[in-house]
Amino acid sequence: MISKENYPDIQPGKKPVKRAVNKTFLFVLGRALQSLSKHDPLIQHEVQSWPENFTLMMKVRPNGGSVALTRTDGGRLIYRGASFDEAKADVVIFLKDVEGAFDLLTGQLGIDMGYARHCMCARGDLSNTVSVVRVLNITQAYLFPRLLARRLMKRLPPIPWGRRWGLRLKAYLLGIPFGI
Amino acid sequence: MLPDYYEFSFPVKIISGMKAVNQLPGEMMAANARRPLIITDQGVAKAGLAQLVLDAFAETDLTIGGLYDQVPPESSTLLVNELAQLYRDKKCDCLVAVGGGSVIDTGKGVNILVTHGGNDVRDYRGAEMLKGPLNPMFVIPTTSGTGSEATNSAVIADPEKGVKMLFVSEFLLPRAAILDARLTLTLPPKLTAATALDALAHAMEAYLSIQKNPMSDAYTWQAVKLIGEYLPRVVRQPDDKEGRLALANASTMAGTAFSNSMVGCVHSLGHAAGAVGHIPHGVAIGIFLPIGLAFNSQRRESMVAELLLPLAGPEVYSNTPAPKRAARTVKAVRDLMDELHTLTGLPRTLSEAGVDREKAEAIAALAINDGSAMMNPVELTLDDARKLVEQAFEWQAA
Ligand SMILES: [Fe+2]
Repeated sequence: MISKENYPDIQPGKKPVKRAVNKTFLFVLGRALQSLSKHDPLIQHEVQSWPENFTLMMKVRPNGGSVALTRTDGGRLIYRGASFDEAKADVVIFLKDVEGAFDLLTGQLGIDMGYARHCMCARGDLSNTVSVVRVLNITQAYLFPRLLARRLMKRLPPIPWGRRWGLRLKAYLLGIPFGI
Repeated sequence: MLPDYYEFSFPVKIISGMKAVNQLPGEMMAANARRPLIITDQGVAKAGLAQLVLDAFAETDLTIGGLYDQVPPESSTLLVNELAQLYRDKKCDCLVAVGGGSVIDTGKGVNILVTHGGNDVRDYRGAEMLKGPLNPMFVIPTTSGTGSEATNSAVIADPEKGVKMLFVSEFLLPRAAILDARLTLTLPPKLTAATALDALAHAMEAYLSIQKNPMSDAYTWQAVKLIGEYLPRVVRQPDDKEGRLALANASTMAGTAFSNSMVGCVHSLGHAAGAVGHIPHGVAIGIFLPIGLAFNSQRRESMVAELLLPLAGPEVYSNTPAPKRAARTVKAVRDLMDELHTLTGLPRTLSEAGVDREKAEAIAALAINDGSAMMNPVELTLDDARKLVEQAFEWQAA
């Protein structure tokens, strides 16, 4: 006889390492974008085409960390922290699960392939999606070594060698740790 | 090529036949629906096609909740909101969309609201955000091109903000698509040609996209084959019922392919040229199809080459040396366009379509920001787009 006493609920397990890595990379992404957008003309050119005060948010579902960035004057982006109110963002890109998010955030899967594999869904006005993807690709081209970045996108953005290393060092030494 | 991972969804029942519309009431009852709201446009109503649908309800005990026949060529969020109210006021329980892309997308928008509640469809914009299936919807296409009856997306213009809003969800796929030869019989040859080229582009672009997969490839294959075989025939003989039904099938199959694998740069450029140059979607897409295929050959040569077989047939394929097949596919598309140009006056270039050369820069700038560029196998840079738009002004003899 099958009795419900023998069949307890099974709670979902945890992946604390991947979750922590995701949160760290979301933070790195946010701070790096804030830093790079101060100087990189490619990012500024893209961001200037976004609506005024546009806030972009990226969130790992259901609550595996998030990042939000708001557009300000001159094509700059301000990092809005890891607990921005989802309802106040103009576009929210949800990363559907912890594994997919890990692959995307740690540079094992490019943004466009991630989209092709349905790793993400999005709420809001998607008319500047392509521009957002270009900005994320440019950021990855700064953050990751060239060999790795080349696998993540169809074509590397045209960033001269000097600027790549200058802004990369600035992002890693000042932008990401101190937010300047 | 088998992708590491892919998804494919196509839960639409296909009902195809010379008089397939007669099955509509039966399908409705099978879905436990009894009171449809039928939406269509003036052109469809005037051609007597809405009447064909009404006639199918004779001798049933189903009451039609309403027939709205004023959907404009560009769908609007305001109209969607109003029609949702009509649906509720008339206590309807299913939707029937009879028309082309605008009517079908309007129907999809209405269905979101009447199923999930609310008064403004704009609240639901986004990708993969709908929570759960929608009410039964039946689509009866009256053009063979958009493939909207088989796609998971809807584009609805917001007249207040002057932008086109995108809705993507597998739940937007209708319950059934009814392909009836009579519904496209009166489509003029030029329009038939333009819409079929749009369908051909859907199929071919899905085959080259970075989201391609074996399922969508299969749909591409058959869609390309049907168009290659039947399009020239139907344009010569517009009352060819078998040919009309074949093109309707091809369009739905092409829609299935790109609903799951997306389109690419031909659509990025075509959307931009359509918006800036005010030319019909199918015309713009046709112009850019050979150009986009040639451009994507740098990364997808073997796949462009494979498409020669369904498009031109086994004779041409086997008589073309393997290294020349990709270029031969492009030539086959150009040959087809030449033929359609001679038979119907379909424009082959932006110049023939009456687009001013001064608009080239605006078209290129818009194209690189079009969402369909994302799944294109080659990154579409501004410089690339400029070159491709430039090519689109001159006809390159096949
Ligand atoms: Fe199209």
